[in-house]
Amino acid sequence: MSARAAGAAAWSLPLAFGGERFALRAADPRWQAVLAARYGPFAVPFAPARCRGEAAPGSAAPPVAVELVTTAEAPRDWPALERLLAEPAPVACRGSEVRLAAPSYDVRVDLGRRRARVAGPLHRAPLDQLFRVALPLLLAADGLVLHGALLVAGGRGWLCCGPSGCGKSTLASVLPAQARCDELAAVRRQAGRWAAWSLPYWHGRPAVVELAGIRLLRHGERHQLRPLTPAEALRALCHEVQWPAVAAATDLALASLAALVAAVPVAELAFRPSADVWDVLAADPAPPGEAGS
Amino acid sequence: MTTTHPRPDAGGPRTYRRATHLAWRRVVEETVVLDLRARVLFGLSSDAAAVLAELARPQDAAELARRLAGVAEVSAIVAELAAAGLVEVCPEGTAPSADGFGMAAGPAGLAAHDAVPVADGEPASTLPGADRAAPGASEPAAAAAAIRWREQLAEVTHQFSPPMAIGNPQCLP
Repeated sequence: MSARAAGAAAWSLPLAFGGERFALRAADPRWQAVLAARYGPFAVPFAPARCRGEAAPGSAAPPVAVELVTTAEAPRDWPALERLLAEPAPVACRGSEVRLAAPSYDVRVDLGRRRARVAGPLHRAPLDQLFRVALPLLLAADGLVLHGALLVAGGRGWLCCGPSGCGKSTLASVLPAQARCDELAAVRRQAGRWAAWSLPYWHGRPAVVELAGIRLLRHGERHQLRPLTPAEALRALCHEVQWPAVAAATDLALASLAALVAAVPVAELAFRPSADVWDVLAADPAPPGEAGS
Repeated sequence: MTTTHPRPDAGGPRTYRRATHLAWRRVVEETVVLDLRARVLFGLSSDAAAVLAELARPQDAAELARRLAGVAEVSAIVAELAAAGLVEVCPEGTAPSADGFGMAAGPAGLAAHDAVPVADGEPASTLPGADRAAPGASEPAAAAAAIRWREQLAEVTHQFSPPMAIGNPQCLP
């Protein structure tokens, strides 16, 4: 299996999300079509005027350079794709390099040098894995990646968290005007306030907003909001964090989570799939211990 | 990061330390400890949290009890924390070290640390002698209270549905 190495890049794609920038390049121009649907909406020219609203404050860091190397053709059918998506990718760390070595792809990230290499079949899955590992590490000092759907209105955002099956995608589907992503979102503390970014997973559209609230989703017979204390919120949200793959970064991420629940109201939201859930979702919950619906 | 442990017949008082792969944070009355190696989340009593904090510096049970004069049943708490893998027995001759939790902000600070899934030693609960430190029959109440709750973190899975299968209108062409 010969790899199409990226010598002179035939294709490149500058991306921005989560307050970070990534410069993808490949010798194989077919990556453009492979990545367009998921990552195309997050393409941002790296002109300063366009990046100002996206980059983390004070972040003069250069983009993370990501080299894509084609080692095989894309899976030809859904079972083959499902196998690729389900492949275990154990994480190993050596020096400043983090590596994911899956059976059919290899991902290496050097965060110190801000560069990465993805060698694998012509499919977005290995790149998805790169971002799922790299983003929590890049954000560890001041933010987190959480499993949640981000819904926005009027420059404010509500992060609706929960495990698979809790209703993230359902909620996004009944509130398409507000939904910006429905699986993973990033939050970062900026000058004492918390901002939320949509991420490309799944069906993401770019958004960065002030984080107004966090909702822990569950299906219910009726819409109901129950505020949580910071301690309850910390315990519940620990299950929704995409924890950094490096142990030492975990403490920073937990500190970020503790700061997040102290600053942003967190409530449990029971809902049935109808658009009027928005009125409850975006309401300011009474403090814990007071009226709870 | 490899942890070594004394042989069962090693003499002298055992020195304990907080396991170095943990993250923990106190929020109001609750202390949450995250063990990503085992993917377990713990909620500790305030006494257990005090013990864990103190064990940033390795010390033996007697010294620990002296420093935590207001905490009852220190040895039972240590035993319960050790059984849960939150406290380790130091290898003989280990010098007290600074708190191993901190990390320099930024990616450069990651260099010296292990990736979470890499197993590198036995959990304290399987070590020779760990069970000898188990709480005695006279201390069940204190021991039971050290860890208030524990929860297994689910393995992270991502949606595997085929593209466009979710039916979210925002992604339709």
